[in-house]
Amino acid sequence: MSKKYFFILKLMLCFFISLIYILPLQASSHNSSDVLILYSTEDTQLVAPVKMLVESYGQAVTLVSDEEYTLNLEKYYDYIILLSPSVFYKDFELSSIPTFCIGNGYDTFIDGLVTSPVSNTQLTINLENWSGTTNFLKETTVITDYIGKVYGNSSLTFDRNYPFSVIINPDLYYVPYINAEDISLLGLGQLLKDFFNFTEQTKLYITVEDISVLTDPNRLTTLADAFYTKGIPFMVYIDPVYTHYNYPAFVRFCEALRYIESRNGTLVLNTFFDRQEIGLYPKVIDESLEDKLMSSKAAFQEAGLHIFNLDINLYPLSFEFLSRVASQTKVFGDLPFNASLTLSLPTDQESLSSIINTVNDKWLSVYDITPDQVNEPYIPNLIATPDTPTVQDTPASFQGFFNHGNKLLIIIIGTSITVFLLIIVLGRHLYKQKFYSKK
Amino acid sequence: MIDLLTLIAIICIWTLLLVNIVLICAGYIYYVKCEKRELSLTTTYPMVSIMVPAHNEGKVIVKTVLSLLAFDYPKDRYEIIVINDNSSDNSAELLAQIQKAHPDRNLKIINTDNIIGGKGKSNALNIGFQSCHGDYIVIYDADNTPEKKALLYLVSEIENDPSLGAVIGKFRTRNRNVNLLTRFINIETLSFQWMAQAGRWQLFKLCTIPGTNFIIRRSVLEEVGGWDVKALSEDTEISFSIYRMGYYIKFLPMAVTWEQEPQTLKVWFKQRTRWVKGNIYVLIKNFPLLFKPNVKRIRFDILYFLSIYFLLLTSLLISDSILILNMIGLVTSSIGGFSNIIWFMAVILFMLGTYISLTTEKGEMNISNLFIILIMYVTYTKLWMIVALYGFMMYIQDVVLKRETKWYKTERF
Repeated sequence: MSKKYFFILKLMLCFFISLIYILPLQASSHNSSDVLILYSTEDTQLVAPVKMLVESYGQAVTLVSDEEYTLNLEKYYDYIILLSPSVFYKDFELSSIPTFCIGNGYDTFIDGLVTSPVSNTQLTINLENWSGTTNFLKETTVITDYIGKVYGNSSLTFDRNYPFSVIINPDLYYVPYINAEDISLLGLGQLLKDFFNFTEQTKLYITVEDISVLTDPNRLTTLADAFYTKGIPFMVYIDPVYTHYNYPAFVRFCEALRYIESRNGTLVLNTFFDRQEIGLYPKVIDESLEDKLMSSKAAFQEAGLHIFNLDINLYPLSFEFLSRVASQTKVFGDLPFNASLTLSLPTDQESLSSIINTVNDKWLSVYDITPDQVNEPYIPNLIATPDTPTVQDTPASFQGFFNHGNKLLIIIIGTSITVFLLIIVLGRHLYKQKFYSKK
Repeated sequence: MIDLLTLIAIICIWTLLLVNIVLICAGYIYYVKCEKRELSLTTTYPMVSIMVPAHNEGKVIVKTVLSLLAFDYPKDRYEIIVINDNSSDNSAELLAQIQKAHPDRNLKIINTDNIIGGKGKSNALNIGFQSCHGDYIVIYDADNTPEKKALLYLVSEIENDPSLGAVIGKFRTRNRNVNLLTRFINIETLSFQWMAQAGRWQLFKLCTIPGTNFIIRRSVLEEVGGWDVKALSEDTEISFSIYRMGYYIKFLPMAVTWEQEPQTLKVWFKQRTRWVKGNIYVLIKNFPLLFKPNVKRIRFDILYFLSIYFLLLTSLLISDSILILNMIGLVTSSIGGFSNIIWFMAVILFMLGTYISLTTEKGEMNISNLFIILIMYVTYTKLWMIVALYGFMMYIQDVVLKRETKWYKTERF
C-alpha cells in the first residue's frame, strides 16, 4: 500500500469518524444566518430575550445599539430585528432585507399600519395553540388598522379584539407588544420561526440547575427516581470540580450522578467565562479555566460518568411561565422554539411532586437529549452517608454541654421569673392592704 | 483548659444565683408568715443592757441616745451604756448634757482614752460589757434611730424562745433619699435582709448578726468571752460563736431601726472593705468547722460566705478575664458564651428578685425604684467585685506583713 493511498484512507476515515460526532448535532441545528438586532440604549429590556430566542433557532446574532449604528450596516445581514424604530427608519429601506419590527412607532413607515396607545389595561392574548393574560400594563400599543395577514389576537378588558401581530409581507413582520414573562413570548417565537422559515422539530427539555459537589446526594437520587418513575427525561447541569477528587464528598457526588444516569438523566458540565482571560480581573491563577474544566471532566469520566456537551442553544423557561399559559387543547403542544424548562433541585417532596404534576397535567412533550444513551442499572454506594465536610480532629469541647446548660438555664430562669412575678402580684396586694388600707 | 475554666466559673456563678433565687422565695414566705403572726409580748420585762459604741460620733450620738431613752419599755428595766471610745470631738460633752437632762434614767457614759480604748468596736463593746447588769445585751450603732417598740419586740422574742441565742431586728436607711448611692444602699440592705437573713432563717434557721439592732443573751457572751478584738467584722464573728454553742439567731423584722449609711463612694468603699476583710477573717477562722460532724447547721453559712467571697469572686474574675482576653485574641475559647436571651432574662430576674424585697416596705414599691435597680445592676453590683477583690488583697497583705488590723470607723454626715 502506497503512502499516498494510506494518507487518503486516513483522511476518509477521519472524515467518517467526525461525521459520527457531528451529524447528530447538525441534525438538530439550522443553517446559520446573520441576524442584526437593532435596539435603543434607552430600552434594553427585550434585547437579551430576543437574542436568546433568535439563537435558539441556530442563528448568529449581532447586537447593535442606536449609538453604534452606522449607515447601511444592515446590508451585511440576512435578517433585521428592530426593537426600536425611532432612530433607524430614515436610514434604510424596509423592503430590501427581511425585517421584524417589535414595539411602537412604526406607523409612519409601514404602509397601512395604524396603531393606538392604550393605558392601564391587561391584554388577553390568543394564539393558535395557547392563550394567556398579561400583567397589568400601564402603557401599550394595539394595532387598529393594517394591511397583511394577522397572527393571533389581543383583547383588552371590556373591549374588542386587536391583532396580536401582522405579517405585512413575508419580509416584514410587526408585533406591537412583547414581554418575555408572558404568553407573548410564545407568539414572538412562533412568528420568528415562521420569519426564519425554521421547519425543524423544536424540542423541550427539562434541566436541573445549580448542582454541585455540595448538593445533598439523597435529594439528587430522590429527584432521579421521581422523574424516572414518570418516564420524564431530564438533564442535570453540574458544576465542575477542580480539586480534591479523593474527598468523600466527591465520591458520594459521583455515586449520585451515576445513579442519575441510570435513571434516564443526562449530565451536562457547566462551563464558565474566565473573567481573568477576558480582562475583567487581574490574572492570579496560572492554570487556565479550559485546562481546569478538562481536568474536571476527566475526573468525572474516570468515575464512570458520561458528560454530555450541549451545543444547541435552548431558551430557558421557568415552570411559573408555563403556569401562566393555557393550551387550547389538552396537549400543551410543542413550543415554537428549542427550550429548556429549568428548575432548581426541589427542597422537599411537595415541590418535587408539584413539578412532576405540572409536566403531567400540561401534557408536555419532554425530549431526551441523549436518546441513545443506555440506562445501565446502578446501585449507588455511600449515598446515605451524611454530606458533611471533612472535619479535622479538634480538642474536646464543652460546647455541647454548654448548649444543653443554656437550655436548662432558660427554663429555670423563665420559671423563676414567673414565680417572682406571681410573688410581686401577691406582694402588691399585701402592700396595699398593709399600708394603704382604710381600716 | 480555657474552656474548662470558663465552664467551672459559669457553673459557680449560676449555681450561686440559683441559690439566691431560692432564698428570695423563702424570704418572702417568711415575710408572709410574719405578717400573719401575733407576737406575744413579754410581761416579765427582764433587765436589758443597751450598749452603744461611739467613736467621734458627735454628729449623730444625741439623736441616737434620745431615741434609746424613748423606748416603749419600763425605764427601770433597761440601762443604756454609751462607750465614748477615745473620741476627739465633742461627743463627751454632748453625752454629759443628755445625762444631766435625764438624771432619773439608767444612762451610763464610759469615756475611754487611747490607752484602754480606740482599738475598734469589739474592744469598746468588751469595755461596756464589763459594766452591764442586764440579762440580755442589746447593741446599737451610734448612728441608729430605733423605733419605740424595737426593744420590746426583741426582748419578747428571745424571752419566749430559749433556743434563741440572739434575735436580730431590721435596719432601714435613714438617709436613703440623699443621693443615688444611698438609694442603692437602701435597696441593697432591704434585699439583703429579706433574702439572706429571712430566707436563710426560713430554710436553715440561720441568720447573721448585722452589728446593730440585735439582742443577745448575757450568758452567751460570757461563754464566748465577749467580742474577738481581732475581728473587724465582729458581728459575723459573734454569729459563728453562737452557732457553735447550738443556739439559733432569729430575724425579727418588726424590730426596726433606722441608720445612716455612707453618702459618698469613698466612705462606702472604706466601710465595705472593712466588712470584706472582717468576713474573710471569720471565714478562715471558722473554716475547720466545715469538716466537723456536729455543726451541720452552720455548714451552709460557711459555704455560703465562702462561695460569695472566694468562689463567686474568683469565678467572676476568671470569666471576665477570659472574656477580655478572648476579645483581644490572646486566648481562644470554643464556648461561645451565653445567649443574649439568657443575659436579658438574668437582668429581669435580678430586677424582679430585688424588687420583691421592696414590696415589704411602705413607699418603696414604685417604678422609680425599679429603674434604680436596673442602674444598680450595671453600676453598684460591679463595684462589689472591686471592693471584694481589694478587701481580699488587703487581708492577704495584713497577714503576710503581719500588720495589726485597723478598725475604720464609718464617717457620719
